[in-house]
Amino acid sequence: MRVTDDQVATLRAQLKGNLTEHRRLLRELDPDEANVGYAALIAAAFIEAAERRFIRNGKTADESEVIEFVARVRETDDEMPEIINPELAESMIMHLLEKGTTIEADENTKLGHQIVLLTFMIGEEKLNESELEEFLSSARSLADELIE
Amino acid sequence: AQSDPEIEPTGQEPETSAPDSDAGTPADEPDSQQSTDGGHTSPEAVTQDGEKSSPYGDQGTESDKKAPESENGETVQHLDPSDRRSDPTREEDEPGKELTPQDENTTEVEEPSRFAGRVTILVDSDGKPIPERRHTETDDPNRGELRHPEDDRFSRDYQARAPERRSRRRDFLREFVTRADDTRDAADAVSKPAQRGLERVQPTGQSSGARPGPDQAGPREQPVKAGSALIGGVGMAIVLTEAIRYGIRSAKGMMEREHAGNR
Repeated sequence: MRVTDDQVATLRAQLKGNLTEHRRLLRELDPDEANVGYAALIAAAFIEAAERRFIRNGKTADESEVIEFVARVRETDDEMPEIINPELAESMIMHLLEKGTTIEADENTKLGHQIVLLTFMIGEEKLNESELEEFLSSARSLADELIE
Repeated sequence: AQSDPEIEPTGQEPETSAPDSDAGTPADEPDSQQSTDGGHTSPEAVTQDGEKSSPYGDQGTESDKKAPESENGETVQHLDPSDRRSDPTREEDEPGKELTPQDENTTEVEEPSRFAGRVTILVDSDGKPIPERRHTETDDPNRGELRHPEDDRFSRDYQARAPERRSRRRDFLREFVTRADDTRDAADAVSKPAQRGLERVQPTGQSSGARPGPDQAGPREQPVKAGSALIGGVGMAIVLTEAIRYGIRSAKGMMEREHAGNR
């Protein structure tokens, strides 16, 4: 099994802000394939986005920068503090920076955190069309290495 | 040699009968040579007697400068014919200068240096300088020098990433991939909140004018303020009119009282 074009298109719509299109494509995904391919794609995109955001020019961000980022995400609106657990969000990013480990959480919560955090990270990067495609291609390649 | 642009005289005055203290003896050269180029040993840097020594030394040695030409035959073959540093005649003419020691079979050209660190320029058999980049044995990522792009751990070209980094990313992926009962539902639940990350504007500390401040009138507030201004204007007009009428009545009353008093 590999990541499908539909799964990539679904994530692309999310990251481009096309919410309606994203939800439509999401509903059309095969559920069993999505549990494998789309989940892998989200995780790979989260890893890729965290590296781009918090590792620049070979320098890894320190914990304070991660904490500030998560705080900005949570203060976006009144709903976000209910969605994003700061300890979980920070631990996920610090884990990728090899400065900690992810705390325990259920699978749905971890997936939700990955989606929200990677969208915010991509939003801050302000990628153009080609950069977004390059990002998606890189995430897809990484995901395929796991699920093939 | 003194007019050779590649050579900078060190300005040191070596003793006539002893090697320069800074230059050291040829036996000392291997140590300084190694410290100069990070331990790189080029076959071309080995002299005929097996010692690694520079034709220039650090500042040259007196004994080298006075080496007879016959000992320099092989050296001359390796050096650029236009290199007058190999000309023993010139060396003898200027005994006080730091000239190239004419060691046999020496193809290593060391630039006389004014600095404490030694600069070594290696040349090939044609006498052409060998770029440092070709000395891959001396590459040390910790030295802060430019490295090959493919050695960049954080290259954005995924295919070119270092194998160990790619392996680490795969490990992360195994740890991070979720196994929700329904990935679609879990993703849909956060799809709308996630959009906030694409809508928010990064605070820059400066007003961009895109969003009016609390003391500025936005487009929707202008009709309200216009109405308020109209009402205020009408009110003022009414008040003013009443004030004028009151003044007129008061004046009439005063005039009537005066007329009545005059009668």
